[in-house]
Amino acid sequence: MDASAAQPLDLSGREATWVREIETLSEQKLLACYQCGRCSAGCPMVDEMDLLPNQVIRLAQLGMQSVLESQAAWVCAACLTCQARCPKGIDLPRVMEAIRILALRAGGARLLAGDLSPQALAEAPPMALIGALRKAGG
Amino acid sequence: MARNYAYFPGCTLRSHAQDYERQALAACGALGIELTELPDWNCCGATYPLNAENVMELIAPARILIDAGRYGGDLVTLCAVCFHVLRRSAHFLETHPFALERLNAFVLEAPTTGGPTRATCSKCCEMTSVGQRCAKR
Repeated sequence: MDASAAQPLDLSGREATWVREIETLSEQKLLACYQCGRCSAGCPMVDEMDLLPNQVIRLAQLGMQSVLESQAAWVCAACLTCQARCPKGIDLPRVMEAIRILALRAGGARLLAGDLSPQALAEAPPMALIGALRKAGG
Repeated sequence: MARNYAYFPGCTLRSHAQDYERQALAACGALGIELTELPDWNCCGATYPLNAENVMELIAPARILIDAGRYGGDLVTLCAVCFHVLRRSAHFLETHPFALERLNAFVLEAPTTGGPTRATCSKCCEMTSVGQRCAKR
């Protein structure tokens, strides 16, 4: 996903409701973020993300639902480094979870136990399997 | 002086990390720490739910905390993931009485008073009590 691509911006009606939905699910105030970027600077998974964590917040602030197509929320490991470093006290992993939930509601489960190979089921620790299925299984 | 704690092994210690459990239990035995495994325990859930809407995802850790309450309230777990989930769940239920009330309504084993009690880690002395603050804090 290209963050620099021009996208229509509309903060009326549906978009505003969508922003409130993210804020309700995550219990976070998105507009508290002033884009300092410390979340992205400390994120250990940022190399794997198509959008930086602060860009995810920015798109969500503006009600741009294209953020649901981003892989960033799925890559987030909820290690809480960003939450610990955010000067505005935003719990980013909760925002990422809200984005994952909205994406799951829109498009169904990303990962089903039946999709995993017998080798993965045998070799992965139960905590990893259960964690992954709870995260992406809907 | 022997100390006795309720013990929650967790799924991974019973499958992929059996060596770790064997060594930890031997070390605890040498130090005079008795660990009594919770009967009929379930998976802690492996991830702490970050979704504010769905309190029901806390049923699994809450049930473990309730069981631990029957065995004196102090719960030891060796797994860092289980500790993370149990400790945060205990803290959340401690600070959100309404969520605790909802959960208690769904968990058949819930006592009529009290609810989930305390969680502690084998690596630290931090303890929490749902409904009451730890004296150290």
